Amino acid sequence: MFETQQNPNWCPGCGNYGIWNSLKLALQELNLKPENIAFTSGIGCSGKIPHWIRAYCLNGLHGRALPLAEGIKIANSELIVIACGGDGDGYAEGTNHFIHFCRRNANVKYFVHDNQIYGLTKGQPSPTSNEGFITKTTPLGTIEKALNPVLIAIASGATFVARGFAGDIPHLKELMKKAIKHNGAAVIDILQPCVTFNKVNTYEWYQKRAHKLKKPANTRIKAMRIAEQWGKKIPIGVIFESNEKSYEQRIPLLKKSPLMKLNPKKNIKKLFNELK
Amino acid sequence: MKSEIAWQLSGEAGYGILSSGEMFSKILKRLGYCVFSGTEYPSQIRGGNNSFTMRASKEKITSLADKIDLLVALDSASIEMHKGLLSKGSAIICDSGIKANIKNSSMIRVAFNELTNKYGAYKKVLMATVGIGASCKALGVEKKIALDLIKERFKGKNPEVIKSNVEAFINGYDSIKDNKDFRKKIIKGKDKGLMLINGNDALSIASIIAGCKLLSCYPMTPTTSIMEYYSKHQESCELMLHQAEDEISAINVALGASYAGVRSLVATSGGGFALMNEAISLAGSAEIPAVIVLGQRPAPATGLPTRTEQGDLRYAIHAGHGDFPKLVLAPGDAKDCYELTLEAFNYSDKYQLPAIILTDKYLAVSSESLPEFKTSYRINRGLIENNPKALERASKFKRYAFTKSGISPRTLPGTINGMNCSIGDEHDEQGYIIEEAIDRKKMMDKRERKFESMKKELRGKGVEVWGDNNSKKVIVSFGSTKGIIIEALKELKAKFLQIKIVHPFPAEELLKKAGKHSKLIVVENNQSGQLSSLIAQHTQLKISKKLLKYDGRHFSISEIIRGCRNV
Ligand SMILES: Cc1ncc(C[n+]2csc(CCOP(=O)(O)OP(=O)(O)O)c2C)c(N)n1
Ligand code: SF4
Repeated sequence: MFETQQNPNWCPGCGNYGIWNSLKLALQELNLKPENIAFTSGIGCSGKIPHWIRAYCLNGLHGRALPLAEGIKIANSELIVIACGGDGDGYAEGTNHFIHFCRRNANVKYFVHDNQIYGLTKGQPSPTSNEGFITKTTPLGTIEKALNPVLIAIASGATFVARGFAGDIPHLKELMKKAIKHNGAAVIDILQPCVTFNKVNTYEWYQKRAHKLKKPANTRIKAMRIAEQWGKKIPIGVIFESNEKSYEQRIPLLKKSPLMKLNPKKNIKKLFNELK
Repeated sequence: MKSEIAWQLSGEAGYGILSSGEMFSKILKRLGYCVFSGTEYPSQIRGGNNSFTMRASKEKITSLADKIDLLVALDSASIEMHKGLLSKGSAIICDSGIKANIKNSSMIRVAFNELTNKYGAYKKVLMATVGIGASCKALGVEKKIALDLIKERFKGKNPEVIKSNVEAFINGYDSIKDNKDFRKKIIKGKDKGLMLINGNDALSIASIIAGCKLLSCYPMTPTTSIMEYYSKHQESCELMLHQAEDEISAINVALGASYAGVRSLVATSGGGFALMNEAISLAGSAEIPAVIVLGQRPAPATGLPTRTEQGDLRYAIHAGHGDFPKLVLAPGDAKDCYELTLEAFNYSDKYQLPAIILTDKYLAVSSESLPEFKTSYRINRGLIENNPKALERASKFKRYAFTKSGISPRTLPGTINGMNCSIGDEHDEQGYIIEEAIDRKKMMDKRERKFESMKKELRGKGVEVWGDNNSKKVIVSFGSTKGIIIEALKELKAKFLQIKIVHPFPAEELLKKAGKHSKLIVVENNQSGQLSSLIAQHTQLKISKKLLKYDGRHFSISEIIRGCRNV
C-alpha cells in the first residue's frame, strides 16, 4: 500500500530502515489511505524518508519541516500531517519552530531521527551529541552539553511526548500509532544508530540502556523527571500525554470546515463602505 | 488653487494623532473634497514627534502638498519642527500658553490644556479632538457634519467616550473667534462617495477578493496594518491570521498551506524578507505558489523603521539563492496595490512561482480618496488535477512533468492517486532527487520555460505612460513616487513612464514607450539608483539624470519639479 518504486539509499544497517519499516507498518495497521497523509521533511539522511513512502510529501528546507506541516494542517485539517527530520534539522536549525510548535499544540506528528550526529554532512556533532563526543571537527571532544529534546518538548507544552528506538520496530510502531491517533502536537524522539559516522551510540549502546516505560506520567513535572534520565538507563515509550484542544481546534473558523473547503460569501461592498 | 487646503496635526506620540487626523480627512471628504493624507512618526511609543498631514482639494490630487496652511500644534516642539513648511497667510492653532510668534502665520490660541484637564487619562487624545473642533471653525466647517462623524466613529463604544469627544469638539470649535488674517475657507460640496484608502488596505481587500484565506505573518512596520485588516475581518470574510514565531516560519507555513491548496499571503519588510529568502528559493524549486508583500523601509539593518525608502528593488528581484523564475510587481498607489495584488495571486498560481509585491512605507500608509474599485475578477488557480480517474495509479504522480510551457499540473493532498513528492532538492519529473548533469539541466530549463511563458503573457503590461506622450523629456520611476511625479507634471512638460512590473523587466516596452532620442530622468527613493542600473542592464537607453533621495522621506512635488526642470 505504501510502497514506492524506488528503494531507500541509506547506508546498509542504518537505523533509518527501522524507522521506515515501523512507519509503514503503523500507517498500514491504522488503515490509513495514502492520499490522506501529508509528510513534510527537512534536509538530512532522515529528511528523505517520505520519498520512499507512497503518500503526499513536501520535502522542504533544512530545519523547516514543522512550519510547512503546520501550514498544511491549517489549510486542510482533514489530512494526517507528519513532519520528519534529524536532530540537527529539528534541534539546531529548527529549534525555534520546535518550541513554538509544542506550545501551539498543532495537530501535527513530529518524528525526529535522533542519531546524535550530522549524517548527511558526514559526521559533525549535533545538539544531542553527548559532551566529549569526538568527531572530525571536534577531535578533542565536544565542549557543549547535549540538549534534551524530550525535556524541551514537555516543558514547551507538547501534549504527546515519547522516545522510541529504531532497533525495536514493534515498540516504535506502536508509539507511532499512538502519536498519529493523538489529538495535538505529538513528538517522538527516535534513537537512531548512524552506523557510518557515530561509532559510540550504536545499536548495542542503545539496546543496553533502553528501558521501556509502562505508562506515561500524568503530570508534566513527573514527566520531566523521567525525561531527565539519560545514563545507564534511557527511558523509551510514551513519557507524557495529555488531552488538550489542538491549535486547529482553538480556531473558531476551522470548527465549521477545513480552511480549504470554506467558500464564504464576501460582502466586498461593505469593505469599501467602511472606508467612506 | 484657492479651493485647496493643506492641514497638519502634530504633537508627541500618544495624542491619537493618526485617528484624529483620519477623522478630519473624512470630514473634508464628505464635504466633497478629494483628500490625500500621510503620517510620519518615529519608532518609539511615547514622545517624539508624530504628525498627520492632509491635503484637500476640489481637484483630483495624488500626493501631499509641500506646504502647510493650517497647523494644529499640540506642543511647542511641533511649531519649531514644521514652521519651515508654513505657507504665507497660514495659521497655527496652539495652546494659549505657547508664546511663540511665527512670521507669515497668524497664531490662533486655544486653551487646549484648560479645556481638557478634567479628562484625566484621556486628556491627550481629547486635546486632538479640541484641535479638530478649532480647525473646523477656522475653516468654516459646519458643526453638524463633524459631530455626526464623531458619533458614527465611536458607535458601540462607551457613551462616555462619545460624550467627551463631542464636548471637546464643541469646546474647541466655540473657543475661537473669526480670524481676519486666516482666509482659507472650505467650500461645501457634495460627498462624492469616495473611499479613503491606503496601500495596505487596498492590498488586503484585493487579497480577500482573490480568495486568499490565510495571512501568515510576523509583525513588522510598515505591513503590520495588513495583519490588523485580516484580524478585523476574520469573521465576516472567513479569514485566518497566523502569527508565526519568526518570518522563516511565517513563509514556510504559507508555503505549506499553498501546497495544500489554500491561497496564502505573507507580508513583511526588508529584515523579515531577508529571513524569508531561503524559502522563496524553495518556492522556486518546489514550484509552490506564494504571494509575498515586501513593504520597504530605510535599511541597512533595522534602519529607520517607520520611514520610507525604495532600497530593496534589487534585493526583491534577486531574492532567494540560485536562478529560478519569480515575479516582482511594483504598485505606485492604492489602486495599483489593489489591481496588482489581484494579478499576483493569479500569476503565482498559474506559473507556480513566488510573486513579490513591492511597496513601501509611504505607499502603505498614505490614504487617497478614490472611487470604489472594480470587483470583476476571475480566479485562476492554474493547473490542478483533481480527477482521480485522470490520474494513474502510480507510486508517485509526475509532479514535475516536462511540458512545453514549463507548467506542470499539480495535485493537492487528499486527491486519490495524486500522491507526489514536492521538493527543493533538484529532482526528476516524479520529484525524486537526481544528481545527473543532464537531468539537472532539463529541470532548470523546464522552470525557465515557465518564466518565458509568463513573460509572453506580461508583454505590454509592465509600463504605464503618463503626462505628455510627445515630450522628449521622460521621467521614469517605479512604486510610490508615482503620485508625486503626477503632481509635478502639472507644472513640468514631460512624459512619465511608471514601471509596474520590475521583474521580468519590461525592457522592450520601456524602449518603445520612451521613444528615440529622449532625455531620461530616473526618480528613485534610494541611494544607488537601483532602477537606473536595471534600465542600463536591460536596455541601451541613456540616462540623463538620476534624481535620488535616501533620507528616509518621500520626495516633495517641488523636489521633482526642480530636479527635472532643467534637464
Ligand atoms: C540552511 C542549511 N544549512 C546547512 C545545510 C547542510 N546540512 C544538510 S543536512 C545537515 C545536518 C544533518 O544532520 P541531521 O539533521 O541530524 O540529519 P541526519 O543527516 O543525521 O539524518 C546540514 C548541516 C543545509 N542543507 N541547509
Ligand atoms: S550516514 Fe548515518 S544516518 Fe546517514 S544513511 Fe548512513 S548510517 Fe544512516
